[in-house]
Amino acid sequence: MLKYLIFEGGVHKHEILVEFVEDLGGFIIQKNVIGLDLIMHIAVPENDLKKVMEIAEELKGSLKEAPLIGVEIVVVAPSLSRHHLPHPACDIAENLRRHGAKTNLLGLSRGVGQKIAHISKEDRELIEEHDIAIFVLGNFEYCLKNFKTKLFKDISIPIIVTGGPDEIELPGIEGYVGGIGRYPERFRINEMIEKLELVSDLAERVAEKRRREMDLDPLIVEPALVKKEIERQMPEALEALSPSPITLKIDGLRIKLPYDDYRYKVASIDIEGRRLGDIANIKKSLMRSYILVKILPQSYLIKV
Amino acid sequence: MDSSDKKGGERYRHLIERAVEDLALGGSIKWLYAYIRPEIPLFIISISYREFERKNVLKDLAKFEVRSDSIKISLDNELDLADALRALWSELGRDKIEQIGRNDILVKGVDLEYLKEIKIREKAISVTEKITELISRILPEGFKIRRSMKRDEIIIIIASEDPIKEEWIKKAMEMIDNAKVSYI
Repeated sequence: MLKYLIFEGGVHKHEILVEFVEDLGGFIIQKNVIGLDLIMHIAVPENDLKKVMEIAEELKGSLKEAPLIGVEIVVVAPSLSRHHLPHPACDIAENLRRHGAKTNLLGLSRGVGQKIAHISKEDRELIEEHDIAIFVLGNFEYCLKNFKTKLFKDISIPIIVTGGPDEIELPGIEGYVGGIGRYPERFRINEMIEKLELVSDLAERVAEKRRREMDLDPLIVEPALVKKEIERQMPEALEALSPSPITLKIDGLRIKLPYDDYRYKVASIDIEGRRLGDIANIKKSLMRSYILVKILPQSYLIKV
Repeated sequence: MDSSDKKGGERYRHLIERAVEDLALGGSIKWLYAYIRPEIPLFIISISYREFERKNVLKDLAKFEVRSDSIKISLDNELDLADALRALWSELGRDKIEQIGRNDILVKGVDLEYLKEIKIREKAISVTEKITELISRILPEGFKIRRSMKRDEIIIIIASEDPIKEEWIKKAMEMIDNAKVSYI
């Protein structure tokens, strides 16, 4: 299994780390240079973690584990009005990004209220395009327990819920973080920043668990390898104006190019002697008609 | 604040305080009372406020004192200071303007009549408009069935997901009477 890490250090001699990671069979997922500082998201095989840490130490940089790298998370608010946005949904999303995740914000079309709250088929499909969904709900225990569970009960991806009550038991979710609710200002005080950290920690645990489960039947190829090959064989993907034009997901990736124009090109990309179209499901995303690639597990090859 | 969900009520109190602060309504509101029952579902909010219109032309907002080489403007309300300074700076330049007190501005080398007609805002601000905005920010978005009432300088909004019942209106009226007594 790959371990995902964030390296923070100087630009000087960082090529040593890049080369070492590539020699190990690891991947450089993202590299940001800000002046003389460097922030790099890397993935390395679990067994070689110690050696990578030694090199990072030599370069006087810091290395921290970030299981949320390569995870696409959707933060769901009951609506797009100022009752629920921008705080706290944006602050939760921002904190997740600091932990390496790629995030999208989604406002439901009819998520507000009690009896009137419901989720449409499009909303659900859009949420299921992601790896984890975080529902940012309101203040009252009665509403959360009796009416809001219908928003996420049929969703197939792991769900995390945040709300006002400190503790509450909701069915079908991976975890709950209380004390957030409808919060009308930025998360500036320590108590609230700790809540953000709790949400991110919980998301990290969920991502780690999902990866461990997938280890029982691993993917035919690592999504990070597919990303590297797409960048090499289809450079126009990097020219897309959307942020992170190729976004990694736990079991695939999102390519931010129009599906109708590029689907055949993406399907014909060569990955270690195989066509990508043969080892992955490629479909149109509901989000701006992007391309969604879901890599198949190895058990699929045996069946074939 | 009267809420059947204590913790949720506390969070709503915080939300209301921030909304009042955001809209700079602290000085205009005498009292605000919220009755929250998510299990009914019912949300009643009543606000007593001082109605006034904050005008936008300088002559309506300040007193003028002509000195030998300058004019002293004394604003009646501190809240207008930021807008007044901004407007004067852009009209006359920063060299001619000096803030000499909390509400006082000294302007050099400008005709009094010209000064009096300067508009510090695009249009006048009415407190009622802001109170309506405050209420829409506070009320839960899903409680779309609403009934509003006004008595003297008190505005009451009853919001729910179900049709408004007569007993709720009665409850709202009681709330006003009780609040009035405790305020006096």
